[in-house]
This record gives sequence, C-alpha cells and structure tokens, in this order.
Amino acid sequence: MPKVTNIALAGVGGQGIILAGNLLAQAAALSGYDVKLAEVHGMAQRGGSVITQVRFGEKVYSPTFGKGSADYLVAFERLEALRHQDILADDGVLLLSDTIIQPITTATGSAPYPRDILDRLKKKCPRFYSFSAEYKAEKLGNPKVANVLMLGVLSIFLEEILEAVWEEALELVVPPKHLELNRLAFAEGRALGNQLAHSQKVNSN
Amino acid sequence: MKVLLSGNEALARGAYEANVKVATAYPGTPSTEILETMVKYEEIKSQWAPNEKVALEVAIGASMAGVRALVAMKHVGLNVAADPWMTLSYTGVGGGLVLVSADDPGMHSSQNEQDNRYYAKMAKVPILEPSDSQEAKDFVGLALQISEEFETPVLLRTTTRISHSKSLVELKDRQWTPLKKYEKDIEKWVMIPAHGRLRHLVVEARQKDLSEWIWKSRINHWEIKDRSIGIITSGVSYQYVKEAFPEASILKLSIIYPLCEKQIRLFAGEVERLYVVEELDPFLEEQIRALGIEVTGKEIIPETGELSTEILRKAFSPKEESLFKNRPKPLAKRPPVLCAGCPHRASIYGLKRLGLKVTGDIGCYTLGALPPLSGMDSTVCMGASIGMAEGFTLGNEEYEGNTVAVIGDSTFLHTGIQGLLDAVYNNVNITVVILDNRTTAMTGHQEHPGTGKTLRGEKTKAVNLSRLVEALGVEKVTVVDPMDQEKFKKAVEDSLAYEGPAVVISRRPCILKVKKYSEPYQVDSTKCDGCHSCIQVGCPAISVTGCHVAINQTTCVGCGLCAQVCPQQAIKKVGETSA
Repeated sequence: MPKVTNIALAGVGGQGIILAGNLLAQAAALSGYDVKLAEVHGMAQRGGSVITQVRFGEKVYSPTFGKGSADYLVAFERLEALRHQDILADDGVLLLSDTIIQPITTATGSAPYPRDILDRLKKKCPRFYSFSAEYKAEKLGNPKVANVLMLGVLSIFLEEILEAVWEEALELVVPPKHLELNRLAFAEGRALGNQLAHSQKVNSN
Repeated sequence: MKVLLSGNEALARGAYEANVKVATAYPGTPSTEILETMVKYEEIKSQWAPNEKVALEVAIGASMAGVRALVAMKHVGLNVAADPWMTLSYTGVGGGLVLVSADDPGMHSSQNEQDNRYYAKMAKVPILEPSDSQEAKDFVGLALQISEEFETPVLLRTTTRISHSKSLVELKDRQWTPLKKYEKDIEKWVMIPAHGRLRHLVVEARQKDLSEWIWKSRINHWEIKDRSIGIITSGVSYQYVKEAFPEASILKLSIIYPLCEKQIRLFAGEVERLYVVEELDPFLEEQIRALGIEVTGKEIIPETGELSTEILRKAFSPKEESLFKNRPKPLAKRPPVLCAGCPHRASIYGLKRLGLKVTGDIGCYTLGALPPLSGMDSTVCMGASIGMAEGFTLGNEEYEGNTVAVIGDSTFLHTGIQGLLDAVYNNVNITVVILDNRTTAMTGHQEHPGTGKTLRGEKTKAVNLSRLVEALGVEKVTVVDPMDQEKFKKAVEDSLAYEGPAVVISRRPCILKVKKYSEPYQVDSTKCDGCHSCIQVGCPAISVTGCHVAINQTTCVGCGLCAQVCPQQAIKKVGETSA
C-alpha cells in the first residue's frame, strides 16, 4: 500500500490541540493529499488527556492509527508525551513542547507525577527533541500560540508540504485577529526546526 | 475543489444541498456541531429544542407541511424521542424526514454505548450509515430521497469517529425539490387504532419494496478480490477493514437495514468464509445468521467499545501472547475536571460538606462525582436526579431530609420538569438543587430556553426558573450564589428542613463565559498548616507541594472558594494583606 504519514498530537484539553490538528490537516489537504483527522470533543476538553490523529497520503482509509505506527508525535505536555509515547514507530520522531501541567490525580497527591520522564523518553525514542515552546510563545506575546509554534517545528520535517501552503492553511484555520501572532509563532517554530535539522547534519558528518 | 469537513459539518452541508428547510436538535456529544454548522445556512430554519422528543415533533410537523426536515441527536437522545419515532414509522412522512442518530461506541462522552440501529429495526425504518464525511454529506440527500419515495422516515446513523473525524468532501449547490403539498388525510396522520392497523400493513409492505429497491439501486457495493475471505461491513468499520485487509472481498453496506437478502446470499456465495465486521452489537450478524447463512462475527470481533485497524488484525490472526508483558507502573491518570472557578464545584462542595446523599444528573457537574470532590451518588440519564431522589426517600425514610437532587439548568428544562411535578403532586419531601449556570456547558455552551437567546443568537424570552418551579407548585424556592458558601449552606439546610418539595436555584454563570473574577489567590505559607482542606475542592489551580499547597497564578481565576474553605485563613487574593 502507498505510504500514509501518521501524526499524533497529544496534550491536555485547552492547549489548542484541535486547532493544531486542523492546521496540519488543512496543509496536507492543500498539498493535494487525501487526509483524515480524528479528534474527540466534549468531556475530553475539560482538562483531560487529549489526542488528535492526522493521516495523509495518496489514499487514507482509517481515521485512526494504533500503537507503533506514528511517524511523528507532537506532545504538548511531559506526562502526556510519556503516556502516548508508544504510539510512535521505532524510528518515529517525538517533538515535545516541554511543560508540566499537574493532573488532578497528582495535584491532590493521590498519584506521583514521575520525575524521570525526560530520561525515559530519551531511552525510548532515539529521535526525541524538546523545546520550551510556551516560553518562546510567551515572548512573542501569548503562551497559547505554542501549538502553532510546534507545528512550525514539525513543518521542517514534513518536506512534502511547502512553506507557502502552511501560510495558506494558517489563513484558513486561524481567526483573522490572531493571524499575525500565529504567523510569528509558526516562523519561530520553523527557525527552531531549521536549527535542529542543521545540527543533525553537523552531527552526522 | 474538495474541502476538509468533519462528519457533522458534512451532514449540515448535506442538508443544505438537499433543500432541507427545517432542522432541529438538542445538543449532545457527538452530534452537537450538526446544528451549530446548520445555522450558517440562512435558507434553513435551524433551532434548538428543549429536548429530542420536541425536536423530532417539530421535524414531523415540518414534514407534514411538505418540506424536508432534519433532526439530530446523540444516541441516548433517541430514547427520549422514541415515542414519536415509533409512530412516525406508521404515519410516514410528507416532505422527506431524516433523523441523525450520533452513536458513541467507546463512550467518549456518554453514559452508555447503546446501538441505535435497533431503533430502526424496531420502527421498521431504513438506516443509512456513512463511512466518511463525503458519504455523510451525500447520504443526507439520499436519505431524503428514500424518505419521500417510500414515505418513510430514515435513520442516518453516525458514530463519534464519523461525526468528529474530518475528511475531504466535494461540495455541490443547493438543489430544488418539490413541496409535498399538505392535504388533510386523517387515515395517514391521525393514529387512532383503526388507522394504525391499516398503516401497519403499509409499513410491512414498505419493508419489502425497500429491500427490492436496495438490490436495484446498487447503493451497497461489493469489491471481489481474494475469495478466501469475504467481509460484510459498514460505517467506519469499512475503513478499518480496507486498511487491515486490502486483499479481502468486501460487501460494503450503506443501507444497513432492511437487509437485501438476495445481495447477502450472492455475496456469501462468492467467498469461502464469510465474516461480519461491525461495532457494538451483532446487528447485521444476527440477521444474516437468521437467513441460514454461516457467518463469523462476534466470536472474534469485540462487542464493546470502538473497533480499529489494530483490533481487526488481532481478531483475524491472533498471535499467542506471552503471559508476561513487562508492564510498567501505570502513569498518573488525567481525567477531565471541573474548570478552575467553576460554580458547580462550589455547589457540589457545599452539599458534600453537609454530608448529604446526592442523586446527580447529566452535565459538567457529573465530574463532581470523581475524587477528590466525590460529591455525587448516582447519574443515570437526563432528568433522572429528581425522580431518583424521590424514590430514594420513599424507599427508605432514613434518607428523608438528607437527600438532594442536583440538576443543571439545561437538563432541568430538558426532562427535569416532570420529575419535579411528580414530587409536588405526591408531596414528597425532597430538595432539588438546580445548578443554573445559564448555558448548556458540557456540549460547548449552547443556548437553551432559559438563556434568552436562540441558536441564531437572536434575543428571545428566557424562562424564569423560579416562577416556573413555583407554577409547578413548589412553595419553597430559594435563589442563591454558590460562591457564598455560608448562604448556600443555609439555603440547602432550610430547604431540607422544609416539609414538602423545595428547590434551591444555585445561580452563577459558567466560568468559561465569565473568563475571570478577579486577581488570582495565593497561599501564605507561614499560615498554611498543610491540612489540605483546599485540595478537597478539586480545583485544577491548586496542587500539593511538599507539606503545603500552591495556587497556579495563571490558572486561578479568583473565585475564592479555596479561601472560604481554608480553616487557617491562609489563602488571600494577590495584593490583599493577610490580617
């Protein structure tokens, strides 16, 4: 079967994952691919664990994919990265916007928030990159655009989607009054992604 | 050009293209966005109903008037609308009528995962089941065409994965369809027994005609590939099958009821082994087996939850799995929680402090049943809290005076009124707390008859809850702000002490509408003695840090509930000096 690219976006309800998913799916659609996006609304939005899946390729059947089959996992919170890490394929790339949001279970002290998450992620995913996306987004004007910033990073990996297409997708998905800030965030993310790609080349030389 | 649409957006677009004139619904995940999208099409009269039964009745009226109508609801909504639904099958339609039932296998946001395909079988009405957004859109038009041709309502069944997944859709313009002009016909529209008996014969004949038509229409299609395995499937399961077994022969049903016997037999004859892949109950499987055809289904396919490509692969070729899976310690769970500043938290916490038995209902506040609040004893269905509180006290007098029903404003207007009427009528000594946050919050802030706005955002009359419950005969009605814990406590205690049914309207708008009350609060660690009383309110802004607690300054919206709860007065608003 022709190759389908599988991308999972994981985090906490309220982090803008639905918008990020829409942006990605829209960019893939504008690039001429068949696309499916699976998300769940309702109860999951109230601060719960959230995962959105985007698939694109010549022909996509199932809207969802299972463990061990994601090419990319973009995680927006440490514990959620660990929770969903097993969705990645062996050579899958994990991009983490590194922040900690205590779930109610650890906030009340009824369960521990693991301290060794980054080490565990490093061990499990050879291609693991983490960013202070929220901090960078805050410097741009609003920590909430960390979602679009992370997609800027991801866009460097997805060479099949051209930069101009992302621009167009942003215009379709982001409300006009927030567009400028989101453009900045996306560009910042691309710059980060480029640095990463560059350093990788240096390393492999 | 193709556009990316969710199944729900596609259904709304389908209604637009197919010349639907009236669309109604009560919000419910995963169906809510159908009407929220529909409202963009000005040609369609779209409106929220207080519940699904009314929504369907409005659609039936529109159909009787000769226009095309769509009514949408979540699966359990059809339980509420089942009464008109069953008889609508007998009357049939004027203009086309399609009922969208959005089922929720896996219970992403529901209290059960009932399989609503049985509602079509029980009513002897055809069902269409789309497998992606394109079909979701196209099947609305198809359903209306079938509806008019066979004078029957049509059930269009989606599931969460169809309603909430996005895929590419080719759009068309709105088409013209003729008005089915209303002419008085009491044998059709007045279902007294004498007429009903005649209409039942029509229903049975219609079933046969439909089955024939399905055969000719080629709406169900098959793909013959490798003949060793043939799979009958529909809806999103079709996508999983295509992905897991690209070589298999497939009969993809788009109309899944009534079954076209000829089609099933022919397909079964083409393949060596026949399988049925369907989510939830063996709906197709049982009917195929009843034809005397050998088929494998639920022996290998799970009967609970959603299916997936992975599940199908495992089901068809199970590998022996090791007993020892080297399972790591489970991670801390992240369940959904009431938002920081949510007024429901104050109400539920206030009731918990009084040590009451609480029969609950359906809404955001159901989350208050979970730890650490743990402030609810039951949740069954929309409106159940009131009748259950009544029965609970009738069943055991010990519970009289310490049981309250808790129900949201939208839920009370949906199906709570009748329960309260019952308590008044039978003079049962219960207290009902209506959590009036002025919106339908759980499904994403839809308007309802108490908010003063319509689906279109136009101003309208808002029902006055106090006057409504007084009109039902409740003599003890108190309106209170739950954020004032002392007043709330007194209101509930007085109501419990009152002889006869009493209502407390706990009124404070949803925090997501208000956004913020004031500056955040903070903990004075010199005063905090680590008693963790504030932790018990279950606010996502408060967390344990060592012996003390801390308040997240970005998440806190300044509701001040924790400050009221703290026995040491260690929690103060930022900028306030502690005395």
